[in-house]
Amino acid sequence: MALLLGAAPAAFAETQDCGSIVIPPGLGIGPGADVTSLNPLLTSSLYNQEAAGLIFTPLLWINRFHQIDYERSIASAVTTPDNGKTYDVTLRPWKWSDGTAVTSADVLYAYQLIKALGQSYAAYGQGGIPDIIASISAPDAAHVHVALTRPVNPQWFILNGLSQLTPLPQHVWAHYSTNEIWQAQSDPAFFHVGDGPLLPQALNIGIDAVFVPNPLYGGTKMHFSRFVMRFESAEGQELQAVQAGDLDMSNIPFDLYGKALQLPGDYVVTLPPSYSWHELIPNMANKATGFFADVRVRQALADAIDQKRIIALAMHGLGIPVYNPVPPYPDTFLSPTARAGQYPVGYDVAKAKTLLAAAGFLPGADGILQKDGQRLAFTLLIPAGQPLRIEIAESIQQDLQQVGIAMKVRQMEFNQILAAMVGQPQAWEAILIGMNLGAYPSGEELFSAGAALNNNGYANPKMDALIKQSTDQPGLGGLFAYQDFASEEQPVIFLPNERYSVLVRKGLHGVQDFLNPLGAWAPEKLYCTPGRAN
Amino acid sequence: MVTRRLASGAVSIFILVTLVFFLAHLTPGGPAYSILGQKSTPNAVAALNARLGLNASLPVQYALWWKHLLQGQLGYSYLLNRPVGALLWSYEVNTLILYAIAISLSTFLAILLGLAQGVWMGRWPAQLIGAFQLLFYATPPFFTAAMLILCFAVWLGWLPAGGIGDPRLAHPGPATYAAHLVLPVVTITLLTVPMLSRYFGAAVHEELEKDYVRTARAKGVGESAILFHHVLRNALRPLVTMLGLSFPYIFTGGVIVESVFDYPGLGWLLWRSALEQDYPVLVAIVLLIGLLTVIGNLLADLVNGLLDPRADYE
Repeated sequence: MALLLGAAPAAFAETQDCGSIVIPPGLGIGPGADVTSLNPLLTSSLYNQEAAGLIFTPLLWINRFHQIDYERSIASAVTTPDNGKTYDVTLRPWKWSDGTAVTSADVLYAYQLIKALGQSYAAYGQGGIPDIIASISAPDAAHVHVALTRPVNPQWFILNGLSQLTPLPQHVWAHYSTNEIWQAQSDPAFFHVGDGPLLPQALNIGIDAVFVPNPLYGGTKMHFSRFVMRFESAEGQELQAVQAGDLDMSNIPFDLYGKALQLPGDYVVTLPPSYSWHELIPNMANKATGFFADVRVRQALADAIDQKRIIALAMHGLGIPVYNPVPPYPDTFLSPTARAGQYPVGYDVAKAKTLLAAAGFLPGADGILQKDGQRLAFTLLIPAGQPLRIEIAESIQQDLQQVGIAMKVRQMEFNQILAAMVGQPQAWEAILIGMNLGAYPSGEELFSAGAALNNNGYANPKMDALIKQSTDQPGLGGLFAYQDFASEEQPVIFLPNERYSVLVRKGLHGVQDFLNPLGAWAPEKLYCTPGRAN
Repeated sequence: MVTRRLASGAVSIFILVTLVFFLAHLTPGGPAYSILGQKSTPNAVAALNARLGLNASLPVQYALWWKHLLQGQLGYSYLLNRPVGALLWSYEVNTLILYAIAISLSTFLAILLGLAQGVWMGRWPAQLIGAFQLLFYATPPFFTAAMLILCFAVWLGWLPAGGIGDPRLAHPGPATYAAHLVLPVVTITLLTVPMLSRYFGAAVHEELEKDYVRTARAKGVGESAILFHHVLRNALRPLVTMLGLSFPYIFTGGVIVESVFDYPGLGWLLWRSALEQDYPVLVAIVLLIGLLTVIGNLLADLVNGLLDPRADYE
């Protein structure tokens, strides 16, 4: 048993062909779900995106430090001559699996398909795509010229917007209507032409998705002959499957972490934190919980919650506290104050009590704070059947009780929570979910007044202005100001994000480099050494 | 008789499907939220609902569903992106294999145990069989399944923990499929045998107490001839009724067993489509269950009629 915190140095001289590699979807991210679509434009499911990312090489590959890795991208350069309004993309020589060259026409086709899909496009609106693009043209087969409707922060547009224009095989797909493409999204035969490291061989929904190496892939060759994303319906079952030899890797549920460390033969790789956070969303649009509109109440909640205890108890010590909308790892986009660990909120029970008293809340007969006859009490909805979230909620419940806030916890199916959150502001009071971020952690979809994913009624003109500054003005000044202000405002109560650990079968290596916290996999990094368990 | 039973069965199925259709659609949430996840925005949900045809009124959707059914179409799975008919068939085959083996084995073992229990009623072998029946009848299926996985897959490493074939093999042979069937089959058998054998044992014992057995013994007919030529035939009737009732399970599978073993059968599909509100799949499976229940009952009655011509099932 070895606990690895860094990438294991590879002795490539001793490598051997891995044969088949079998892993669950969602590895290193969270509980898995099966692959139901291979089309990168039609699904926001992380698991489907993982599969689609194996078939299609992105225009821009974003690495774990949120920088473009041109070695793995179709683009070889991106420039913005006027610093924000127009962009010139140069494509490197690359081939589809049928030998046809990947050209600028394939990038234009991807954009046209996104436009045709409209709101059905899974990432509609992210990075301004597609509406922010005024025109897109191809001066020649190796260049794409993009003109926007207005100048914006190049870093924001390149990382969140331009990166979505993954070239698609225009010479194959253009023969089909949008509806036909929609209907073929789970048919591996439709995806027989790709430019990524792997090609789909079979998609058995509910069972597995099978891939084989793309023989014409222009990047590093694979060290295996088959790659299988095998679905297990529970994290505990994944662990059992590794022990039984059915899987090569598995997420380790936090409650089984201690047990996994003791397993003979296999070894544990602890990954960097994901680029995400858990959040308690207080509903300010519900009259019953109108008290959340007072920033002092939200700050008091953030001060009352002991994030380190949540990490210790619920995450087995594998997590990091989060106090603002830019997760601490990697620190690429952290403001100087956040980098110094200076946040306006943090675990401080006395301060929380003072804030609540200043907001006019006094203890009632039952010990629960109240103001004008309204008790400081609410119900927290959490997705059903998720042990980690249950433990986080229970920890919060105890913390809030200490300062006189009563919180009930209720489990509900995730899609029912979403339905309430999106369309029925009076049907919920607070929700505990996780939030995954794009490569550039701007908040225009989250905290701008009336934004697409702003479902709790939060609105603050200063926040709107700072978010606009972060997306429209070059440089990181706007992003720093936005994150520091959000740390004060707590539009949602930010909670820790976890570091996942992966149980790996003996003889399989390269796991750290294979997994990317942003979701994209690098299968060519996996290799085997003699002694691999089969 | 058959026509009348089929007619009343059709009415039952119509009511069942109608109820499930409306109840499923009235449940909060919806498939658009399952598909979009945290990217659910009011506009995205509206666009997806329009694409899926969920923006029409419920009665219109219901009428369309029947119209498509009468044209031989079961619809398109919202979440799995496949035509429901093809989807059902691919899962059905898996379930059929699993349950056909499990129910056949269960029936054979139930007859053996039931005969022994009936013959030795009140003596220690029957008491031992009774204890076995009670133990496994009272054990939740997920526990039995989890224990089998723990013992035979994790500790001993003799059998796979779940799934349907070895994902490492490009062309897994029949032996691989068979190995993956062992634990689910044993689980279903351990759950089914106690129920079937208990009914059958009681029936055997009851038959052994009847006058015709005493008469046969008085005429000098041997015990084995009495048991296998007379008692068995009469005692099989309750067993056939039980098997008829379990007929739908042969096709629809057990939600729990298939889920624990990650076995891609109709039970697994039913559980998933209910959870994620994949209405076309859910209603199609309910329709199938209804049809099979009616057919199963009818078959049981017909077989019972053959076993005992005196039986009148009007």
